[in-house]
Amino acid sequence: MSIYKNSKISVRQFCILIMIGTVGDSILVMPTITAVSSKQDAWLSMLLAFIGGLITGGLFAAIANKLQRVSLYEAIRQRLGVWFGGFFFLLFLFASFMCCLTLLSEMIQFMTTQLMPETPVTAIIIFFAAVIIIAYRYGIESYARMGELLFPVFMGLFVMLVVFLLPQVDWPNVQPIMAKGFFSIISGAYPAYCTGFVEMAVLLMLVPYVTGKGKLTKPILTGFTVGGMVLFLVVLLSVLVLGPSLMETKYYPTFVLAQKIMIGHFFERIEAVMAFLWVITVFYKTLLHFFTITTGLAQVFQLKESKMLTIPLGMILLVGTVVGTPNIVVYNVILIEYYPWFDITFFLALPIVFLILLLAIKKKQQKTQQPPQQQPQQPQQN
Amino acid sequence: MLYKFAVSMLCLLLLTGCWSRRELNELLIVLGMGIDWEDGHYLVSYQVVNPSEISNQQKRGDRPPSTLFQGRGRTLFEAARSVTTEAPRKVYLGHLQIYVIGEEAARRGINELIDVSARDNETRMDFNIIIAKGTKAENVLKLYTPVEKLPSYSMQQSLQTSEKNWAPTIAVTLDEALTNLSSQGSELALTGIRVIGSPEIGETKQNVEKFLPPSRFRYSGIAAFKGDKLIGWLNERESRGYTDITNNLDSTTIAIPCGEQRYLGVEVTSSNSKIKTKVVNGKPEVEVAIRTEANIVERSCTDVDLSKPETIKELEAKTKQSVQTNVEDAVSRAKEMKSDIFGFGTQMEKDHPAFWNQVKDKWRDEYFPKIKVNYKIQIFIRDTGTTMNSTIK
Repeated sequence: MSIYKNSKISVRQFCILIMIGTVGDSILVMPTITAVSSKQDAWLSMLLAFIGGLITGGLFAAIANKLQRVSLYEAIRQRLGVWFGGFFFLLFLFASFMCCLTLLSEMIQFMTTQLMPETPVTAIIIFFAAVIIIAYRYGIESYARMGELLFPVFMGLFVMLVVFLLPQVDWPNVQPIMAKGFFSIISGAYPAYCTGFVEMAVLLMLVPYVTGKGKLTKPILTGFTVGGMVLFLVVLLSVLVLGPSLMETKYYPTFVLAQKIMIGHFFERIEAVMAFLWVITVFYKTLLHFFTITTGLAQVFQLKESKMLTIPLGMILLVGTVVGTPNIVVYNVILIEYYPWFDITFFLALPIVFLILLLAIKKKQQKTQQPPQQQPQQPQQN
Repeated sequence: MLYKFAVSMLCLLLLTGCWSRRELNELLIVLGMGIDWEDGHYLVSYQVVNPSEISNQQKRGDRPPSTLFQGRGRTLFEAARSVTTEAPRKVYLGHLQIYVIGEEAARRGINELIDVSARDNETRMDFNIIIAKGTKAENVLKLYTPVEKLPSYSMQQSLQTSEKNWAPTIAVTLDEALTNLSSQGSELALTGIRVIGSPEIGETKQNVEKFLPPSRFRYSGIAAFKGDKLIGWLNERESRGYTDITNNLDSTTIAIPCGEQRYLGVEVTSSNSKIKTKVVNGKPEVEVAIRTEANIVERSCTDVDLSKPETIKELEAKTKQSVQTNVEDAVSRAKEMKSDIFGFGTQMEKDHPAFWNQVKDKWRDEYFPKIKVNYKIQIFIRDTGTTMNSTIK
């Protein structure tokens, strides 16, 4: 097990991590991926995705409660044994790894297209990944506390964005409502639901560190609700301020939104400050996924400590990001057409399998928290 | 020791600064940009600030406040980069204020011009786009302008002020242009700019040394587009009708004839319009409702008795007549050009999406030119200035 076995985060910190993670990279891409198919009904798509997200949140909460502060791998292993359990769990880690790649891609593409076009992508990835590795090495307690500190900053910036854009709201932009039929709304909601909410399955990895023995339904649902509300407001504002055609054509409508802020010819051009908003959230989401891979690998391979995995993993991510998404067009096709299915398979179907396992197979009675080596390895029979 | 040394050496790596940094003294700050189409090439003109000329500390006065750099190319980007062969620094577009498109380039189509600006990461979307009427964009950008030293700033301010206080101009920003060009139910309309007087003097400093500059710019008329191509101009009255219908009119003046070559001045203080659409027997109909509040500001005819309520009623009717002719003319001109600059189609899409889906492909050429437009114009004259009937005989 990792050396952070005794680390503890409070329920509040857990909740904040979920909130920030839910907002994640979605705040940047959500307006585009919803508007591509549902145009001016993007906000309805988002609302639908939000409702779906809350149901998924309930599902994750059910798993989290069943885990009873035991790590996910431990729980699976106790029911399926090392080989089967390890296999399923590695699938989960693989998905997290892919997610990390897309998040890094998202970040560097934003940086190179909008802010620093001449900077080589590797330089940006190295710095971004370095911060993630450092955060990981400081441990979950530190970055959870940091999240608690950054959360007000995030919320402050977000409220600023919303309030300062109110004068530019143009209500007729939402019309006509549902003219293109229900199908286009669903096909817009689907990728939004996957990127925004399903990917947060990694919160299950945080469960063992949460203090107390209480149920986690409330913090998880609160996190999803606040995160979902933020995303919903961003999409709604994009529709109202920018209109569907700009949302669809621009890669980062949220950035354009920030550019739109103009209060009395003196409070303007603050988009670079606003960019901090999603730098925080993308960072935390990437960190959570990175945490999942690293801690997960350490658990599966029963390593004494996981720190030594961080730098090699960072290097693999660096290369993987550049190779996996050679250009922004490929990335967008993957993100909108294929990635949602990937997400559904690994972050929704797989957790459902876990939940069924947790419910169906009784944990074999044994002295809990024993070193894994001494445990019997045969699959359990029901 | 070695560890400390290594760490401090590594820290040095961080001190190299930003990769994509561009210091202020390495930039050419572009305020105005002009695009012309010339012999199969784009001619891009950048009007850049001469920083030393506009600073307050060291006034030299021997150079113009801005300079024009030009580049040619088959693509706009090629043209933009070829500027570096003349200019000492690289252009920076973040402060662009006005984007002038030459009439010839506009007739050729402006999709690629809008695309390249929307794609660029430096340009913001808040600059105004105008059309150089009957001239080349470069001519508009090389004028010495009075009062404001920077010509582009002067133009932008003038456009925004006249949009607010004088009806026949509209300040269209890049994002609005992009939205209009993307929609099937509305066409783009942009304000035109003309250079009056002699352009030769306009280029020289003598232009601002006179009380009345021999060469000036003037906004005149609105250019109507069909698709991305300019197809015609609205004259001043039609432009006024256009801004009135599209709710861009804020304040303006109306002259009502009241005698032999005498006109009564009416100031419009606020005007709101609303477009409503309906489908009657499978045919689209539009209702334009305009509600205007106005004041009497000039009483040139002594026989108009402002102390009587009936006079006000009568003047309201005359004002209404004047507004109605403007909007009717604008609509019939647009129908002639088959260019739905008012966005009737977009409104139809909002009100009757099902009907719109059937007609959208034929809207431009079949439905819009035949559309029936009803007007519902209300004029309210509220004040007569600070006097009633003046005692001047």
